[in-house]
Amino acid sequence: MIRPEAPILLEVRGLHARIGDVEILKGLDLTVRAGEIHAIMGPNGSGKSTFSKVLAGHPDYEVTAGTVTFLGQDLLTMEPEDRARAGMFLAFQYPIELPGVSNAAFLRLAYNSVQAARGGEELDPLEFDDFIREKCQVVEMNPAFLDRSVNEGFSGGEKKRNEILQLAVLEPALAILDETDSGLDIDALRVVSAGVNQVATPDRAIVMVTHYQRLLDHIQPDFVHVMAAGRILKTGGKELALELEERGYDWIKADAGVLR
Amino acid sequence: MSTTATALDGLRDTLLAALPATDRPGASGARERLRSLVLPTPRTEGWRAAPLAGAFPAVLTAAPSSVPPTTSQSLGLLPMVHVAPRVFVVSGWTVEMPGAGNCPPGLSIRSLASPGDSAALPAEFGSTRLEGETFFDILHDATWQDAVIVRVARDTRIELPLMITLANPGDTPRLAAPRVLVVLETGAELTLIEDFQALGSAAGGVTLARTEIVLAEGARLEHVRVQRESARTVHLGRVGVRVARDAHYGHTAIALGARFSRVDHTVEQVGTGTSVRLDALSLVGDDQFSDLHTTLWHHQPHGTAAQRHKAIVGGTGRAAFNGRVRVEREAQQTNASQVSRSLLLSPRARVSAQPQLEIFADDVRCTHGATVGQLEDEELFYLRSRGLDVTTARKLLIGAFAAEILREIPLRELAENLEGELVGRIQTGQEG
Repeated sequence: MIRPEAPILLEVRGLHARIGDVEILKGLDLTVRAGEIHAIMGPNGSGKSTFSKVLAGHPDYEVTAGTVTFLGQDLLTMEPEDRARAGMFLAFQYPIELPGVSNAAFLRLAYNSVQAARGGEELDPLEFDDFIREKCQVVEMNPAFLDRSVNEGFSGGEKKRNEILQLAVLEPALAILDETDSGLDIDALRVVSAGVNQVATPDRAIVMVTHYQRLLDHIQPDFVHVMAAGRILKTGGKELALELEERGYDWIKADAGVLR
Repeated sequence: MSTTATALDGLRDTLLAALPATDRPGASGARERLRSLVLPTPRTEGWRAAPLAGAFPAVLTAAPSSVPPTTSQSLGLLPMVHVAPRVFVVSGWTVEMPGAGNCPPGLSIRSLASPGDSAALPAEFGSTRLEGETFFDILHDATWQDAVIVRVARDTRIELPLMITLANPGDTPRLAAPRVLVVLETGAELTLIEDFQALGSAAGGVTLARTEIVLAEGARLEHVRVQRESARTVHLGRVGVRVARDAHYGHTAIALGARFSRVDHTVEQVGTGTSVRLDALSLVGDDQFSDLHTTLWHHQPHGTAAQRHKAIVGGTGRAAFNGRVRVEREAQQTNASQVSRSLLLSPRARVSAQPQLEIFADDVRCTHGATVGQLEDEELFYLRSRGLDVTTARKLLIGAFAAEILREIPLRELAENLEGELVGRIQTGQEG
């Protein structure tokens, strides 16, 4: 939903970031307003996943230039947990397995720390049990998964569902989905997309990082950005994704003069 | 003479000055042997890592020479929710135990100090192997004054766990030598919990604990040993187990306390078809040293043994593990596995984990592996990205590392209590 008067949630200007000695983001600009759904597409190695991790505060990446403002705050000075509490959520491309950490306990800890920061009500285990069982329906997840260790032994689809369950529980202002569709079969893609569509409300925004056009059949983007060589080279509507499907990425890179 | 050697000589004098006047069997012979024995030194095999010299109190007094008037209530020991048989041992003396009428049928508990029908020592007393005997074992022989003797009758299953709580309190540090013998007759089943606690004034004594366990054919014992003595205590534990044909010995050791802790645990398999589970978890913090030496000795065919050791080491803590597995030529078809995993929480924490396989049979399956690691950055980031602060995230991951062993404890109440204590003690190590 594009509303030019909607408040700006995220403002990225001239972002440069590197891992070790390798510069990956080279001057990235992006503005996201409430209610919008953005898709960031691009070839392998374009820096899509790096961008998501930098937003979430992954310690391996170093921001060398640029600014990121999230809900009026300087995001880059915030710890990862403070970003989460402020309403930033990253659905991981490869969700981490945590043997021995119960999924239910993890979800409750996460929910309560975010609630506490937002001045909301924290839930005891019994109250949370009711709450989480209802949320499980968002991603058609069997509540039996709550008793298991976080992501341990989950299939690829189950892990991604668990990410979207966390998204539904934490109710962030901005959700970044890092290749949430990769490795999903059609059924799982349908379930995960339906879950995302349920949490996409006018006061929230979603940024989907994806390699494939097919996700956009399930979640309609307002903007499609093409990323290559660490920058957004072209921005358009849904039709741009279809054009990419047909023509690949090289023409955009050639237009932008970054093709080697 | 080096400073260490001088310190060890001084320590030897301190220990010998704290010997009680006891006439228990073997005590006078042990006193005689101690005259010519010296303490293990940094050059003694198996004791190289042990910082003996600095760990002991400078002055040590003997344990009381008769049953002290202490009660569990006077030491503030919380009553258990379960009405299970409980024995309370203070400074090596049995001060509380269920009367003959309060024991489940088939379970007999007595102490040498209040012998009941028979003051005689059973044949099993002193019958288990003490592998790698040292000065401290002989010191125990010269120090022990009382013993708890437990026997489960043939083909009897005791449903409630037997809880033995042991403490070594005192306004001045005391040398105490608690001793326990547990005999399961053919086909008997029991859950035994030994819990070394910090109760009363914690001047920090020296606990020389010995537990002997004799399992007859087909018997099954689940044995939990908890060491949570005060931070100034020196704990030297000896566990000897004999496992007869088709018997099962399951063991979970949780070591949280003491400044210096060393446990030597020998399990000797003397019949075919035995099964042994040996699990251990040590939490080692600032200024603590915790050492576990196990020996699994297979003499007969078709034995299985599964061993897991985990250490969580923070601050300036040091942990050591030596896991010896010996398979004699006759012990064909033995299936033994050993895994050691250590988690270092600070750059100054140290761990040494050593498997020691001595295999003389040719048709066996013996595996071992050891890893030492730190908390995974990706795991921490995942938790933090969900709003958990660093300390909470680290505690959650450390608790999860420990859970694999804690969940083996058959008494849920105790497992939860220990989990809480463990998380409470964890130094998350961010201070470096």
